[in-house]
Order: sequence, then C-alpha cells, then structure tokens
Amino acid sequence: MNVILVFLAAFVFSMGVYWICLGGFSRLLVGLLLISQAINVMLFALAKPVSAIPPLIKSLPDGQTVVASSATDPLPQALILTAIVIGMGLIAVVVYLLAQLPNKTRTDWEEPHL
Amino acid sequence: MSTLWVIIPLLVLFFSAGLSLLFTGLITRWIARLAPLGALVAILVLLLKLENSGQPYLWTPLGAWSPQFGIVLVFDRISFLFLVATLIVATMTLWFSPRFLPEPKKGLPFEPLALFLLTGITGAFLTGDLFNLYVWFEVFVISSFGLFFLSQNPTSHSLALKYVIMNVIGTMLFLTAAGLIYGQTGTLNFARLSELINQEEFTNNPSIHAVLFLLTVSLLIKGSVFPFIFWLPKAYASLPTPIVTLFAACLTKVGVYVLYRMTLTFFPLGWPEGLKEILFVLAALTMVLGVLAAASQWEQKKILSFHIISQVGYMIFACAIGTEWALTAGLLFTMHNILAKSNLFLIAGVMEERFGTDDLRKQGGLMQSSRFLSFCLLIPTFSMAGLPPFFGFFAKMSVIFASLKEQMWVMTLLCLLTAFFTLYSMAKIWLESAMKAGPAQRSSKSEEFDFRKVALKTEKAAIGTLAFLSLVLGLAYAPLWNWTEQAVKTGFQLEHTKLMTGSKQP
Repeated sequence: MNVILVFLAAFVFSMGVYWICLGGFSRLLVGLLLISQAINVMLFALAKPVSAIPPLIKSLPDGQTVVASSATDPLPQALILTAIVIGMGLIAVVVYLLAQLPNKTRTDWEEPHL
Repeated sequence: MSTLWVIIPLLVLFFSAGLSLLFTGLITRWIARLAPLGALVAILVLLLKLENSGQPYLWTPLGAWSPQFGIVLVFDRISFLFLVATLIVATMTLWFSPRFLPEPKKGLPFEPLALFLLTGITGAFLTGDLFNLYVWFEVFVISSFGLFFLSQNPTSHSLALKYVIMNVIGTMLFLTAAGLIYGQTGTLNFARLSELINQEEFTNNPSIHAVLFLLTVSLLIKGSVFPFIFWLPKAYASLPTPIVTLFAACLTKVGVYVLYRMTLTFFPLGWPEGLKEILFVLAALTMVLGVLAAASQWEQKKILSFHIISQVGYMIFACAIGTEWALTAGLLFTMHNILAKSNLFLIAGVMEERFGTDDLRKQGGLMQSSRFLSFCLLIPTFSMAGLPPFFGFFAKMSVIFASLKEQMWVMTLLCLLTAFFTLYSMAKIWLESAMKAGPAQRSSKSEEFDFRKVALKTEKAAIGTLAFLSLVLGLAYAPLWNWTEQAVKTGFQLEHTKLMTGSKQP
C-alpha cells in the first residue's frame, strides 16, 4: 500500500510539472497546486501509515505509559498540516498577484522591454 | 548553552511587524525604524553572552521540547555574521528617506512588509531545523512578493511574477527534499543530521546524495545561481531604491547562508564528488555571465544587479571548495558584499533622484557638488572593485588564495577575470558619476547641482554609516579573519561531537 502512495505522489508530481510546461498562468497555477498536493502525499507516505499501529499512548495498570514500537511516526502528519496551510497560503497569494496584473501580461509570457 | 535569549531578536521583529500594522503614517515609520535597531542590540547582547559562555553556540529549544522532537533555535558566530550584516543594512534602509517609495494606493505599506521580511530572514538564520527553515523561507518569500508588487510600474509587476514563480518552485523543491531527508534519516535537526549523514551507512548511500542534491538545487534557485539567474537583474533594476537595497542585502544571501550551513553540517570532509564539480561549473558560469552582462550596461542599478549575480558565484565557489580557509573567505566575502552592495544601491538611488536618470552617461559632477557623497561612493565602489586597502580587496584575495591552495588553476583564472571586469564596471560608475563634469557644467546653462539640497540628512547618515563600516572592517581584516576562522573550525568540529542531539544535552 505504501508503494502505491509513493507512486501516486510521483504521478501527481509529474502531472504538475506537465501542467507548468504547458505555459500560461492559469495552467501554471494548476501545476503548482498539483505539485504541492503531491508533496503532501509524499510526506504522508513517509510515515508508512498503512498497516501500522496508531501512535496512541496506552496507560498500563501500574501507571506507566507505553507506545507500540511499530506505531506510525506522528511527526510527518504535523509536517503535512504545516505544508498544507503554507502551500494554500502561498497559492492564494500568487492568485491574488495574478489578479492584480493587467490582462495582457496575464496571458502573455513575452518579456517587457525596460 | 541553552538559553531563552536566542528568540529575542525574532520576537522583537515579529511583534513590531504586527504592531506596525495597527498604525499608519508616522508611527508605523518610527516602529519600522526602531525595530531592526532593537533586533541589532539583541543580537549584540547574544554575541556577548556567546563569547562569555565559551560555548560554540547558544540554543533555545522551543516549547522546551527535547531536540529530538521539537524545533531548536541555534545562534553561533556564523549566524551572527549574516544577521548583523543584514540587520545593519535593514536599519539603514529603513532610516533612509521614504521619499523613494511609491505612494501606497491600497494594501500593505512598505514598513510592515519589510519587517515581516526581516522576521523571516532572521528566523532562517537562527533556526536549527530543516522543516522550520522551510517555514521561515515562506515567511520572507511571501513578504518579498508583497514588496515586489508595491511599485506601481506594470512592467515591474510582470517581471516580479517570474521571481514569484521561481521562488514557489524553489520552496516546493526544498520541501520535497526536507521530507525525503526526514524519510531517510528520521530527523530534521541539523546537528543530528550531520551526525547521521557522516556515518558509514549514509556516506556510501547514493539515494541520500540524490536528496541532498535536490536540496542544493532548491538553494541554488533561492541564491539565484546560473541557470536560475535570468529573472533577477531586470526585476531588481525596476524596483524603488529602499526595496532593492533590502533585497540585495537579504534575498539571495539566505540561499547562500543555507549552503554554507549545509557545508558545515553535512559535508565537513568536503562536498561529495560529482556534486562538487557541478557546483564549480555553475559558480564559474554565474560569475562570468553576471560580470560580462554587467560590463555591457550603462544604467547604474542594472550594473549593480548583474554584479549581485556574479558575486553570488564567488560565494558558491568558496562554499564548494569546502576547506576551512575557503569557507572563512567566503563568509567574509559575503559580509563585504552585503554592506558594499546595499550602500551602492542607496547612493545610486540618491543620484537617480537628482539627475532624473539612472543612466551613467547622463550623470556626472558628483565630486564638485558633494564631497561627502563622492567619498562615500568611493569606498564601496573601490571595495567592490577589489582595490586595497578596502574590505573587498582582502575578501576577494582570500577567496582566490583558497582556490590556489587547492590548485584549481582554471577556476582561479576565471576568478581573476571576473575581478578584472568588476574593476571595469566599478571604475565606470566612479568615473562617470563622480569624476566627469556634471551635465550643468557641460551645458553651462542651468545652475550647479547642489547635493546638499538633494540628499537629506538621514540619507547621508545611512550612506555614511555603511561606508564607514566597510572601511573599518577592511582595516580590521586580520582580527576579523581569525575570529571567523575560529568559528568555521568549531563549526566543523561541532559536527563530530554529540552535542544537542537528544539525550546528550549540553
């Protein structure tokens, strides 16, 4: 299952690169969104989430607490959470900036003369 | 030594950034003027504490988490060097007169954005955690987007968009690399990573090298090294003076800083074969292309922007050599470059305002009209050109010695060639704007330019301070060199000790 996740991430990533290569700003945005999703999936796959025990702390009767040694690593999920928030924010800013541009530059990759 | 003090400069900048959003006009301006000064004082206090403690670094575990799980902030001499240079330039830029800024139509004004930018950069210099570094990258990148779009010039907007896209892709690659490194090593802490990566299990593992290469590429994008340079010169040259000064001092240097940090942490024995050669080639191309493009320009800001690129090439080159000598030289070269380059941009701004053009051919007569400004122009231009006894001469000489020591003749030759063309460009700026007769004298129609009316007191103070610092640091090069070399040595040794990694806390 984890292998499938990895391939999914790779597939989505390459789709993102393809969309960026198509040119034009709206396609570029789609590409960036896809890549940032692919990275999130990759981070998720790092924790080997499938077929592992949830990282929950159990209290034993004698008052001690234990975590199963084969538990999933919880840290990547914190990373994904951060990455999702920041990635969304970043894309939102890019969309805002694109909306600020005059129509011509938005569709045109031509370099302006200075 | 564990201490809470490391977080103080960050807090100062962050809270004053937030505070400056609440007000407008003069209050915001004064907050923005005082905040980097406050952070500078905090940094100097930290340095005193560091030198008194006798430890190689100070660190703060955020939230008192063990470094295995939590984020640590680390302050050592290398982060001090970068922080102090950046904050000095930021202070001078914010004290610099605001008349160069466009009128804010809507959205955020300059000051809060600049403070958030500084918060992000300070965070990037202080953090000891790879993922946290990504977060700080985002903080300053998003603020820099805002700054890029402050100017109302539509051409500069579409140029800025290229910067935005390059940086978004760069940060995404950085995040991918950070994630993959975590997947392979199970940690994000720099100190722990250096311990792990230098173990045998990883030194011969090609996959970790592939990931480190990905990390390097993302940093090369940040540092605008060839082939990621093409957006930079035009975009920078179209910006208002205070913004471009901030960018010249800060933006590309963060990428360079992380590359130095990587060399110290991951590759104490030098960059791995293959990667090293690639970096040499990229550094050479960056140096030569940047300087040749600069030599063909006549607009002052464009010359300076192209020189940013060529000098990043020097920094990357010194970093790729990876010996103690080379890293020390590279660090000092970066210091020199931050101070001198931003000063040149400030002076270029004042002259552009006065002459109404950035074109050197139409400028002139600075020497007659303002001795002070031309003296202040002399120091950074000659320092950049690499003439003794200025800071730039010693720094550049050390980089060239570093490459001679490793017997890299071709690279040495390219460095010298770049230095020659740099001399040419800088001589052009100096001769055209200061030595040449002014346009008024040549046409003998209008009255003489009077720079005393043009350059305000705050502007003169900012320019003079930066020039003074370049001069003093050049004269005090030997002690500075010893101090920095000590820092690099301890930086290397540090990676073999088991400080700051989980259970064995100092």
